[in-house]
Amino acid sequence: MDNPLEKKRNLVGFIEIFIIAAVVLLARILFEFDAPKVFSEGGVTFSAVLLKFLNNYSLVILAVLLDLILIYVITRNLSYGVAPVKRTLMEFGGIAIISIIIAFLQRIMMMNKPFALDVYMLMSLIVAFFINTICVTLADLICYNRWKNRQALDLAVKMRSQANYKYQLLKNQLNPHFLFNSLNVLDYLIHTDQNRASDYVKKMANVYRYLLAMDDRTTATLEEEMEFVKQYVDMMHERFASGFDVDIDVDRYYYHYKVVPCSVQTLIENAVKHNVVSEKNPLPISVSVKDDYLVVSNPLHPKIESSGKSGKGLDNINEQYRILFNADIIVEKGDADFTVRLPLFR
Amino acid sequence: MYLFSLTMNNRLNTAKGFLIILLFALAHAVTCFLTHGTRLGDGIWLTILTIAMVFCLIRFYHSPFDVFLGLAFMAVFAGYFLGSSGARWMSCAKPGWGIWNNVIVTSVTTILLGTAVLLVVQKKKR
Repeated sequence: MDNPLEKKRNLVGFIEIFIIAAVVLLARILFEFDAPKVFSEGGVTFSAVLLKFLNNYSLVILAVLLDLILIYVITRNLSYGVAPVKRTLMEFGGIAIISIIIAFLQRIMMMNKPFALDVYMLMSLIVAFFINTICVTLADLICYNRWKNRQALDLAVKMRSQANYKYQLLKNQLNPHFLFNSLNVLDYLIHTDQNRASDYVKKMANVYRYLLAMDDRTTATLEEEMEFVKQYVDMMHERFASGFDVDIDVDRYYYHYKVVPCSVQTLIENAVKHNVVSEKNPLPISVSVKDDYLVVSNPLHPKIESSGKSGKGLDNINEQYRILFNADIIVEKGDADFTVRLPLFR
Repeated sequence: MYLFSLTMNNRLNTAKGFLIILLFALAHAVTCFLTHGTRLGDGIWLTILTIAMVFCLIRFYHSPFDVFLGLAFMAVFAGYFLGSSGARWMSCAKPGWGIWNNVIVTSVTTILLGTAVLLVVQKKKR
């Protein structure tokens, strides 16, 4: 369904482009029909005035330098693709100012009534405007090319990072240890309770189905992620019994918000991996929403022996949030508890 | 129009870009042939077509319109100078060809300018 806001934005963009096109057409018409009249009134041709200007090397170098500074300032303050008309107006304004300065300097150097606004001044202005427009345009195109190359490189880096993240996810879930433990639990359940075994297989299938579904998606809704987390936690309960307890307190209002797939599951997995999990002292893990952040928190029951690398999973999640949402996750490690805040986006 | 939509194949996209350029070259040639001898001349119409070509190429590649002014300006004025000089030269070389000198020069100039614009706006290979 077409978004009216999108339609309005497209119409505004079209009008802006039409204005720019009209300006170029006007410049062309003036150059072909009106400029020759000005030059013939002065008794010279455009080429003659242009050659005289180009023979003044110091002035040409000054004009080029000013043009480069103009492009540098505009490019630093206004990125490409943000506001084309504003950028165009800034360039036009800059070219006009530089042309006036150069035209005046040329007259001063010629010591020929520098402040007289006669036809010769107009000719100098036209030539200066023409030269500066070419310089600014060329410099702008070079900067644009560099920006385009940087965009292509950034995109390649992002795609590589995302592919790496998905690879790590799949590697973790297809990890022989995870599969081995899951199959061990399944084997136990088959002999003790076939109904539970059947449920366990379904949950396992749902877990892997979610992973495969996320393979060609960059974000998941909070609802999808919570459903996946519940399946995963149920599987983990079969292994750890009541050694840990996950309390999910997420209002349905936030269900359509976006998260990085498997981010919450990774945090819960980390909590279980790095803390003591026992029925005597269950590890409580809470998942809630506060101030537009999804908060996953658990008290610290550190294991005596460290199990595997720490921090890599969090780094991967943070990297994905930076790429997708340009935001960082917040990790708070206190004396007694460990909290990770994932930003939520619509 | 699916014919002029961007694909994942860079070669196909380049081919489509050149097709756009060729279509505009044809339009330039026809316009020059029809309007060169008129009172208004062919300059304004060819300018409009050149600006339209730059617009279409930028739109085809979904490039930002920040460089539209620069590219349109360069294409229009380069086209004017190259076209005028080229037509003068062709008339000296082949005076008997008449209007066809202008048509040929217009087409060649359009293809050259279009190629230059395409090289600027096309996306880098991934």
